[in-house]
Amino acid sequence: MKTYKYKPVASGDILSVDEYADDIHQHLRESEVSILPKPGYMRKQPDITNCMRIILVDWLVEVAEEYKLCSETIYLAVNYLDRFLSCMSVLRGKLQLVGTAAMLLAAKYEEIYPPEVDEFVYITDDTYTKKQLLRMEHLVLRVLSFDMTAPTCLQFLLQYISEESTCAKTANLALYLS
Amino acid sequence: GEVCSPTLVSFMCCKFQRIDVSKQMSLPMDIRLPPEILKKLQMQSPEPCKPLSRMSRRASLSDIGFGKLETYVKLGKLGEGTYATVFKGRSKLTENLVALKEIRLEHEEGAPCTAIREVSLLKNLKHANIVTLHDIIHTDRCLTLVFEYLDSDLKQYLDNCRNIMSMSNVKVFMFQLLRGLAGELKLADFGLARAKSVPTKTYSNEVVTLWYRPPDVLLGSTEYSTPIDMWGVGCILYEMATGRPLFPGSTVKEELHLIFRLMGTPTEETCPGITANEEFRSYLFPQYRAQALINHVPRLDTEGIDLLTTLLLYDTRKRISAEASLRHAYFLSLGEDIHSIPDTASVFSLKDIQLQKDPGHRSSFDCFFPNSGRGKNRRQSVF
Repeated sequence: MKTYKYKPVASGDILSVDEYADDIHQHLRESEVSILPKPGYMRKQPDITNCMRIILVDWLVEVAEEYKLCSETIYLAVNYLDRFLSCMSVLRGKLQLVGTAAMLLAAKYEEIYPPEVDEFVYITDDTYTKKQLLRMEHLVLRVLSFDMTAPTCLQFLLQYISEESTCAKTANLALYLS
Repeated sequence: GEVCSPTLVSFMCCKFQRIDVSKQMSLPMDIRLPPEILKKLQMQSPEPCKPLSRMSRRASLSDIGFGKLETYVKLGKLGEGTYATVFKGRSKLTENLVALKEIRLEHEEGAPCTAIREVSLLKNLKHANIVTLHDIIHTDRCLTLVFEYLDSDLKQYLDNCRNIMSMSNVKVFMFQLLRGLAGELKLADFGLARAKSVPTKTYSNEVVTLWYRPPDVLLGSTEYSTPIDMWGVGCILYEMATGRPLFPGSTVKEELHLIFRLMGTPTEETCPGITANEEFRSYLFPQYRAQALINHVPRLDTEGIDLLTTLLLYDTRKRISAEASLRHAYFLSLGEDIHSIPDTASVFSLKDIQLQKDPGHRSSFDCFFPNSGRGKNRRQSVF
């Protein structure tokens, strides 16, 4: 009974193709289950805290702005980061490396022109070497067993917004909150 | 070549495959575990009913030999693309043939984005008409994807039956192709807008030749949409029915010329908006009138001609979709049950669906005319 309105909100408007909207939504909900980080994983981390994760995510957002990456890339990177931290204990000195590798992978997956590896090394102020970053990329891929296709809250939100023909103000508020 | 774009993934579906029950399981059914591994696995799990945790499952998979290069024997090179080399191989676990796709990892940039996308998309695809990814081996120097081995692709198959396929096989193969597409297209839509905006340079010309490209793409449309694939499906239907490619152009201009000569030069009526297309106007094509397809594909029945016609429409909004075409009258003779088989099951799981012997098939041909000398592998006379 819903009337879908084709209303591109952001670049991800392929999610709002009318005829597939229901199928897509259902698929996203199903795949979401298998690809969520474990709840409360942070309690098992011996050396890092919630607060450090927040600082890291804020930094990742800044990086994305610096290189003009899509917002979807940030959501993906945070998904990779949380899933990685759900399985592996990370020392605080290596947390930024994990975050950078997650961002690198998300950019490669999502962006048309991802920034080069050197640029990712540069934004960490050469805290890590290129070799370290590439090895971490390898490790993240292995730990996440190459499941890099992940539904993010942005995808859900864009779909809800286009389905309900929300006004721009509400849409922006929701985008801000997510 | 790259297989990250849905168009390419969909063309992989033209590969033929036999019934493969094991595909439905996460492990191949015919897997042969070394006895010491079996013993170890049994010892490790005192409660056999308890499902393995993700970690321990991964550890035991690795014990079995998954994810290790030494599990596979390289047999010979099958082909080389821009970013990968494909080898024929054999799995020591199953003794089955596999295709090993080796992606070189340049030390500069780490894992290529095409590989990351290809692997994560294919991992989620389980469909009887889409090639299955069995294993991934990731080392410092290269990333190897282990695929099921397909004994021949469409071109080899056509060569092998001297371009004369039984029309009933054409129908079964068409159905499989469309089934693969109907499933795959959904995936392309779910996952990733990327497919749409990937720059054209990643569409390697070697893989998707111009022959299967629709006029809208040839005339510069960059919009990825499902009708793009359907044009190619029409070309393949023609090719299977006649044994010749439909529009074998070698340049964009020649390709368009071949299309227009047969299907008629597009007009505002057959292709809305065409008269405003700068590229189209610059070519100054003569005004061809559409020819009757039946004269070119005499072996195809009326329904088949109708399907072909709706696949080859200029107007992308009118071109038939994969889902709709599965319901086309052309496939009525395959029966109703074919619509209710699960995605992961092959159409050959139905008793009534069987391949016929192709009239031009080499072995049958050679039996009757051992001295005919046709074909490359001519058999010496026994007399």
